[in-house]
Amino acid sequence: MAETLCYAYELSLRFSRPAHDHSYLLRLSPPSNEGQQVLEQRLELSPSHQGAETADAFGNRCCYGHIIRSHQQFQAVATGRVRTGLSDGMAEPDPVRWGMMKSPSPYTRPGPHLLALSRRLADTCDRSPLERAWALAQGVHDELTYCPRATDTHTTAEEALALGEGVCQDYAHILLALCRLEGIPARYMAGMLVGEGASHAWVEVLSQGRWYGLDPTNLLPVREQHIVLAWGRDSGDCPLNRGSFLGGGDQLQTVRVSVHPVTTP
Amino acid sequence: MPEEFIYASSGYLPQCEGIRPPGGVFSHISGIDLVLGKDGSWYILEDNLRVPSGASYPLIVRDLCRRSSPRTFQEFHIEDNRNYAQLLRHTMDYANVGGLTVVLTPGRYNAAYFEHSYLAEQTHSPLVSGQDLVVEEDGVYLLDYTGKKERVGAVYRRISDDFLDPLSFRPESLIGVPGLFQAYRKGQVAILNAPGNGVADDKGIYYFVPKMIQYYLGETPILSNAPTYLPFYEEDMKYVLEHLDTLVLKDVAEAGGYGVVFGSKMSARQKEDFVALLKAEPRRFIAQEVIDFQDLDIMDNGIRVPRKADLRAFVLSAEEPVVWKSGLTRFSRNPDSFIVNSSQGGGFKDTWVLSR
Repeated sequence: MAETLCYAYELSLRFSRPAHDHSYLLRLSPPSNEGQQVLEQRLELSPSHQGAETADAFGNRCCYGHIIRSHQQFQAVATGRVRTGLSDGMAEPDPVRWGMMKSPSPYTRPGPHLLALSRRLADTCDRSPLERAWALAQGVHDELTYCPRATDTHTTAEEALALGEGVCQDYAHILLALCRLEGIPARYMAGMLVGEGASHAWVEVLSQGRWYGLDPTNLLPVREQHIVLAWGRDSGDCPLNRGSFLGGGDQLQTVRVSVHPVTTP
Repeated sequence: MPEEFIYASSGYLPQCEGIRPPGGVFSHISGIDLVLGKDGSWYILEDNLRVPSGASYPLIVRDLCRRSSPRTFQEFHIEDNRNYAQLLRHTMDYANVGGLTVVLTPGRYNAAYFEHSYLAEQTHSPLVSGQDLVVEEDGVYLLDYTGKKERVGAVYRRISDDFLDPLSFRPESLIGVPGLFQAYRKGQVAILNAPGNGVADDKGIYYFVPKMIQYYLGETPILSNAPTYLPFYEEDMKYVLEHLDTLVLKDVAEAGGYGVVFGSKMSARQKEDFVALLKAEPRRFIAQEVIDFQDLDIMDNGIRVPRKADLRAFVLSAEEPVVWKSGLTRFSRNPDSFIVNSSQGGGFKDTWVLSR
């Protein structure tokens, strides 16, 4: 079922002392593809500023720039409307891209915990990669307890699994590692979810020539509830915001996300 | 080539997918390490296509030799090597997309800082650190001390890929230039050497280079690789386990002479541990026959003694690749060592290429 969602992603960075020479790179522009169609979108920056548009190696749309003058606060507000749930899977014509999605990446390199879990979940039944990935997603969901402060953005799949706790990014990394151990091409998806106050992450697996989305945190198929912003081998390839600056003292970063269905009149 | 050798390589950077560098040149300055076997043939030991260093040392040492023995250079027909700066400048100009050429250094605490400043001076290029460059609307600019901006068309960087741009690679890098990689991706600046070459330096890839030459160029390599085994392949694994004592084992991700062990020098216990590691991570290692290479004489506290040595040839690529008629001859300090890297105490000598 297709649906129209409207979204707002607000990033705010406050400094205790003025920052200057602030460079940023944002992946906050949803792409239009087989699964979703962007109807309207805006990205506003403060201090008021015109960034340059670019795309990364995965085709993710980026905005990047450099603010020389000193400022006490940096804000990026992305808003728009997206038609979602247009298709269950997406065709993949490029074998180069799925080749890299079969190999371990920096955040998904298996260690003893992942190897042990992979062995425990092993199943010899002949099934499609998608069905197999669902079985693995169930395994990840059983193994992990959702806990917002147990891990951070630098936690690897192996570390999160050892802890037994994590957030959507950790669920996704562990599922990616398990899929790749079985030779199933899998990629990390970053985006937003209806009803979630922060950004969200999930996994897509390649099954019979098409990418299908699985949300291991919520054990949901990815359809009209999710808006894709960017994708890569793992979170390190497609951070939604990156920056560097001089000065600034202490910094406080907050991200507020809201996504809800547009009620048609 | 098994695709995982590319994608699982620590030098593989997916950020570089789809980029064709200005002029189509990826490896502007290549450092190819060669050894001369006792049988009189040359072998390629490894390729260095990332940021090969050492070209300034043959220039300095030649200058010293000329001064201490001018007659040597009158009597023997030795190729002049003072054209390196000219070759390098030409390579930089060929890659340049319009604007200044700068040499980007991590700073004076870097072990190779002397070389960075020397090559900048010799090529008449500004020597800059990350803070001297700024990226605005896809353009890279050099900021001078008055705040004036000048467009940069080529960056000869002496910073590794990981630290080049905190927005695209390691976020904690303080020595890079934020946004540089995006400007490069859009073709607005050249970077020498191209980011991402680390995948070609991987010792696991080295095994495939002769095959690549045959497949892509339809030619037979002129120089041989050292005989190499890839334990990733079952028959090679079998050979390696049976001949551990005569082989040298190398960790594919290491460089600078680290991660190299000789089978003959391992204790029984070490061998056992190594075999377990090899079986667990077969892709991580290559094994090579130990080449009995020719010794060169060096002076050690006033006494003439033989030492192991290798030669780094520098190949500069603009329209065509050109081999610099000189090179860096490095020798090991210890009589029983094969490791010539300066980071491990090795020294260097003047290298003469005879003109006839």
